[in-house]
Amino acid sequence: MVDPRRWPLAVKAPAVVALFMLVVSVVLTNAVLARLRETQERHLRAMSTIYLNGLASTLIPYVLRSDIWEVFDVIERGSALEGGFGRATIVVVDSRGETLAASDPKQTPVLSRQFDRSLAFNAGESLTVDAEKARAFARRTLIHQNRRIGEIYADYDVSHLLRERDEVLRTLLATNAAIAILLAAFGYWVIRRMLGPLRTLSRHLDLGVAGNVHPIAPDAVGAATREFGRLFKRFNVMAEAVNEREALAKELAKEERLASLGRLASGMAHEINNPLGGLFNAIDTLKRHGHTPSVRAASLDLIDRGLKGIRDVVRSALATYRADRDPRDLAPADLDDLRLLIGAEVRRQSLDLDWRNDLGRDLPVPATAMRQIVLNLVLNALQVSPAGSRVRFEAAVARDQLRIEVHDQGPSFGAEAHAVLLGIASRPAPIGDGAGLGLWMTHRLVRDLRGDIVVETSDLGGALVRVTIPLTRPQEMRDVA
Amino acid sequence: MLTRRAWLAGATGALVVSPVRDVKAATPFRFGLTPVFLTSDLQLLEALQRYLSLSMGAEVELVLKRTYQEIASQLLSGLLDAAWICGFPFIAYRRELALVAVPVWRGTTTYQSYLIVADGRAASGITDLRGDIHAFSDPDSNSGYLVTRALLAEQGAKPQGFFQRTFFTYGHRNVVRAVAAGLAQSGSVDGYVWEVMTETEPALTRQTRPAWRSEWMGFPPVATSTANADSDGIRRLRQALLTMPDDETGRSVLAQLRLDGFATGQPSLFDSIAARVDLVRTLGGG
Repeated sequence: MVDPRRWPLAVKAPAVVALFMLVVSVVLTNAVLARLRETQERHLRAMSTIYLNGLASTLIPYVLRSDIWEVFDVIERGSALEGGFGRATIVVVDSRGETLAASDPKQTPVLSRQFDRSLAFNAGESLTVDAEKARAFARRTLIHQNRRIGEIYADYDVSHLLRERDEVLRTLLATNAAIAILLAAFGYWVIRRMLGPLRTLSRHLDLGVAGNVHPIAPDAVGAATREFGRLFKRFNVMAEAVNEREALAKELAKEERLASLGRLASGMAHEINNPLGGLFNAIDTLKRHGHTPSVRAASLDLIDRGLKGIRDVVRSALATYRADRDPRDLAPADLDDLRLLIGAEVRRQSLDLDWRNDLGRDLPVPATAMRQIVLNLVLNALQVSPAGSRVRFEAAVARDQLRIEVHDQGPSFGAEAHAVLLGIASRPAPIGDGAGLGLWMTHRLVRDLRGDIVVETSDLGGALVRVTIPLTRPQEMRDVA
Repeated sequence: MLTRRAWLAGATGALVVSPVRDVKAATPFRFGLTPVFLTSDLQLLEALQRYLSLSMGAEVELVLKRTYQEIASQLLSGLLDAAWICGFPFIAYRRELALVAVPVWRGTTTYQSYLIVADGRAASGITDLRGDIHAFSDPDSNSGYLVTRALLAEQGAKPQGFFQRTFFTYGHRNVVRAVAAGLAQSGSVDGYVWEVMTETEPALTRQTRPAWRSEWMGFPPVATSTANADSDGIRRLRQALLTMPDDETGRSVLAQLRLDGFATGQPSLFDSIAARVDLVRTLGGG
């Protein structure tokens, strides 16, 4: 709020209006006051001239005779002024500047010299206003037969004129301030009203970040001005497109899951098929040599192991694809199960899988999501690994964090795949290029668990993907409590 | 300034009060007055005019002049039948003028002259007033000029040398005003006028103080020209003045003037004034 350039428009515009009014007010006030002062002084000058002319015509014969009493009598009677000017102070001096009489002789004694009175006037000036004393000082030279015989000095109260100026000033200031405030308030209201559609747009954009983009209601679009109406319509078109894309991405994610399921299913079939051959052999052996106890025992043992293997494969597949409605904590075995699922793929590619699961205890992390993350990362690593290369999986707990690392010797991450994994891709979801979708899902899952993904270069020479998941989640806090 | 001009015209010109209906005389009886002594109170003048007209059974015209000089010269030239003048012009023209009546104030036909100063000023005599700006009332006034002039003459001084500046106000009340306002530092004033003003305008007299009082002298008299002294008009005027306290209008006039009435009086009443005139003529150099 300090930098005015960053003020909201709804404040800035009224402030500009108020500033404008201030300038207008200053100019107007000055003009009015100057005019008032001019008018007042003109009237004062006229009044002063008329008044002093009247006094002068009466005084001249007495001044000629230096008749102190008559001069005093005239100015004493003439000193009472009408119209708020109060009682004038009048001093009449003779040609030598000696006082003949003054309306207040105690202040200005007869025969006293009055040089300083003429000093208050500029040359040729006959009226001057002393605002500080609130008095106007006037003078009139007494001329008889072209000879200067004396001078009248009169000063009178003009405080009512100055008060009038003050009142006009106050009225102007109050009026202008009221107008400025009213205009500023009105401006604020108008601008806020005008910017209303922008707030609507902003609100919808905010909602769009969190999830689905909500189109602006048709009545709001209809009520908006032409410019904003167009903007709203375009926003709604865009919202529709984004929502369609989001729906498509979800659909694709489901399909991808089904595809990987298919891949896994075939691996599972393979995994089941392998012992099946042995089992059938064992049954054959039983049929033929079942009476021999040693053979029967060996065959049954073989069948037992084969069925157990099949059971394990089936169980882990079940665990993996059980829906999210069974949220439970991650057990070390959850990750080891995955090893079983990918075993066929590892063998097919003759990869050397180094599986290091150091968890050792159950962790407060959703098992299903975690298994999905690990499965996606490992499958990605398997996919990019050249035949016969090494893949390393590490799972460990360090400083309240679950750390998962997947190393491979395949080519490093492409820029696009990297961006998708870290969630910094410009496109919301990688649609149509197969490989990226698993990474995109991984990113979303990790984000949901408030975790981090880092892609580095592995000491194996290929890529290293490190996922760290914090182990503090609300329900654990509750457990602790 | 119109009012101002009108006031000046009224003060300097003759004031004619409308004649009373019942009086049928062709030539009005002209009675002169000056504001030196009287205030130009129109109500008083109207009452006086009405009283004199009724009492004398003749139309009376009051003629108001600014100075004693004007009144005296008009009286001498016959333009006025009678006038209320000061003891000084009465003495100055004692051969041409005759006494009609003398006012009675506080039981006597005498009054004093005062030297007044601003209230609070320590002064008890003429010597304390040296270097003042001094206000006189009229150069033909006894109390407002002659007394002070004589005081100075006794010391061999003249007003223009003794005082820094002097001026005439042509009115005893104006002398009080001048001293009260500070226009003059001291003034020579009729003691009777000052005393009456302490009742009528105490706010004004309170700002002044008599610093010196003269001895008692003959009160400003009503006079006429010697030639006119035995006329019917003068007899009736004297009668009207002497019987003033018997009439209601007359009493109201006397009340406004704070006078008890009028007495015949003797010219010897003004001897002390005559002595002063002589003193000034001898010592003061005229």
